[in-house]
Amino acid sequence: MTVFNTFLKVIKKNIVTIIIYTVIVIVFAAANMQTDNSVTGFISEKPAVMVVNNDIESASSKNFEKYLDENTNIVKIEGTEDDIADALFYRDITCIVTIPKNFGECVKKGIAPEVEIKTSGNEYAAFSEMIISQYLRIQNACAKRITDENTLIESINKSLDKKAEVEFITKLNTGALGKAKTYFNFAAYSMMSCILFIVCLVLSSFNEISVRKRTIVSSMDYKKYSFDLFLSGFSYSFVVWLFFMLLSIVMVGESMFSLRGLIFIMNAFVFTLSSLALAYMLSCFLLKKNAITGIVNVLTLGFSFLCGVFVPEEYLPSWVLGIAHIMPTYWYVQNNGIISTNEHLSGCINELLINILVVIGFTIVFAVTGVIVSINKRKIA
Amino acid sequence: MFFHNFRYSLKLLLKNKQLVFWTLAFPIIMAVLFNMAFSNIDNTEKLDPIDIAVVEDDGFKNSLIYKNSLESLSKGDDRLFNITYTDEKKAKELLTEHKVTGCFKIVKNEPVLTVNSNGINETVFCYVIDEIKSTGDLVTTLGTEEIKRNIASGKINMDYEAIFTDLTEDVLESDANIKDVSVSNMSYIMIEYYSLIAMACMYSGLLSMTLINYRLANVSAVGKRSAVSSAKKISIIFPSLCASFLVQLVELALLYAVLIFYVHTDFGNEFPKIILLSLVGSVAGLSVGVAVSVLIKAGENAKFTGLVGVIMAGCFFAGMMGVMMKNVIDKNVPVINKINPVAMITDGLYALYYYNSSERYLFDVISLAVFSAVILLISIRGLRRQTYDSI
Repeated sequence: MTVFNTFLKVIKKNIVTIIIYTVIVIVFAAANMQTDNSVTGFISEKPAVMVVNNDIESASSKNFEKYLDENTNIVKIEGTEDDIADALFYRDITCIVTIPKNFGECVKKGIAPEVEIKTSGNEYAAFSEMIISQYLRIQNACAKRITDENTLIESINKSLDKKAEVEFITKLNTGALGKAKTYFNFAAYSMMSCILFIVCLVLSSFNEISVRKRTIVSSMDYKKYSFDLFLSGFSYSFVVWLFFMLLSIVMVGESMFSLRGLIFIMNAFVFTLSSLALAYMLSCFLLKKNAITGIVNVLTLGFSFLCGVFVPEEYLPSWVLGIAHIMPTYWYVQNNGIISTNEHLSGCINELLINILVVIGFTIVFAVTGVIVSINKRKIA
Repeated sequence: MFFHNFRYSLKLLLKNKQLVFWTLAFPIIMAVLFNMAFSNIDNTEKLDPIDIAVVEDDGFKNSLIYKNSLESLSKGDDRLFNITYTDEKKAKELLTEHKVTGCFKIVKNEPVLTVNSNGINETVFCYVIDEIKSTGDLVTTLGTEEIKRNIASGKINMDYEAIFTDLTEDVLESDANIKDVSVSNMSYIMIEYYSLIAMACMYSGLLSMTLINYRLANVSAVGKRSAVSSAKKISIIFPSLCASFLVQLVELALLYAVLIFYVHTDFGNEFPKIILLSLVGSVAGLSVGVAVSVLIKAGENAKFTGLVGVIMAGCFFAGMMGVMMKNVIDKNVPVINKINPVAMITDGLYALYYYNSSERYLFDVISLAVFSAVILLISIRGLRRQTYDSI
């Protein structure tokens, strides 16, 4: 009971920290979960483009703007030049298209008008440029041969209207599963932080030499004492896991009530155990409470940055992913990817199990290391 | 007296491991982590060649426009596609295993695309095929029109193939006449490093707070002894602030060394201005530390944790935990970042990196100076009022 009471006291004292970690997962997951929940077919991406039309009167420029409106997401930025420049830097818009004053005149004369673009330099900017370029190429090719503006516009629109048939083979609800993957990846940081921070604080209180010596010489059965420590740590971790799983239902929605949802939850449970074991191992090494905040921050941030939690793994260099193999978070994140993208789970069950076994392996290594260090310390004490 | 206090203040700071960790080691560790996580982002933002599978059956071989276009789009360093020519079964397999973005085949002379998910690569793949289809249609329309015109003008003997070949070349080589005026300084990951520098500047508050706590009668025993001595408060506090500033400068220099020589952060040609901003930012950090120490009645640990929390919250709003956050706050609740010193430092560095004019940078420097002055004045007023009959 003493151990449980200590846990409750530490949790009460650090409730703000726990709330902050919960808010972090909600804010970051919500910010990255913008996809539609019911995406089951192919939907073209539309780059955000700002159009500055200096020739609003001409039919040609209006048609160009109409084409851009159909193929891109036209954004209007109210404000100063700096606001527009900021929007481009932060990718609120990927391209600014400036239609010149003589656009319509040039088209009528069969001359290619010069259109100015300013891009953010990313793949969406490249796609915007592709869309603009396609329209202008077709317009300029037609303008050489067709002089009547209306006929010209008709020809351009007729040509650009041609679309190839697209088959979308996956039956997965990619929108909802993408959301679930994002949530569970971010939850890794928050769950690990909550567990490591509190469990380390509690265990290090009991590991203080003076407390430890009193415990050893007391009549308390050491096995029972150790079991109480384990049980209270496990109970706390279980509550953290349960809380984040309930939160996942709120954040992700009904797709959590499916086989894939269940696997997400089981994967998170195994990860929770590895975090608990890591906390136990750390508390056996750490003596000073002051050091806990620093080390927990470095470890959780390090795991999250290098294993694909904060930065999607496709953006990470291969050598970083190589290093990430020695961290349990990497294998947990891998499984989230497999669950959310594979059409048939039966085909990748081995891969899923191997990843889970690796996380369990980490759990065992952390726990055994902790026990060895603890036994050695007991001898010294 | 000054050097005596200065020396002991330095000793106090350098022997405090927790302080050295947060003010020196933590920013450097974060810089290393950022470098590892973000070193590839600028490259992955570019549109890389897209892996696609093409079903090479008779239909495809006979569709010359698609065959030739795809062939030319998969050649050279700036190619758009990496193509695997294969049969339909293998193509589907590659798609299911996510080894290719999409699969292309010809069914009854019409292109049919198969994709497995939504995304920019899938969209570009579909758009390019639409583009080829549009071009093909345009050539047919213009060619037919030309033939009709020739017939109407009495030209009956025509080389039809030549007409269509010329038109295809003409349409494909038609110049879009686009003038690209993009700037090269578009790496938004720089905001991460700038907010990291801002965080390190603000951590000077931890240094000043630790020393001022030591001099306060209601916090430490040394403070009580100082309070009953004849020494003026300013003669005790000023050397402590100077020592904090010196330690801060050394730690900041080490962080810059890591950022320049290890991370290779682009600071452009405005390094003296960056140094000035860092110095003013550090003063702002010191003043926040003094204010927390003097004005907040709490234990040393609570003040330390509270200040770290406040600085980290400032970093969050300035974009350290997600670059877009700074933009979101600037657009929707600008007042937060107008009074957030971390955001002022980050914005000043951003202004130097992205804008040609110094106007925004100067505004940030002056804002920081005003912020520091106001905070220090409030703190001095609070400090002067702290007298005790008994404690």
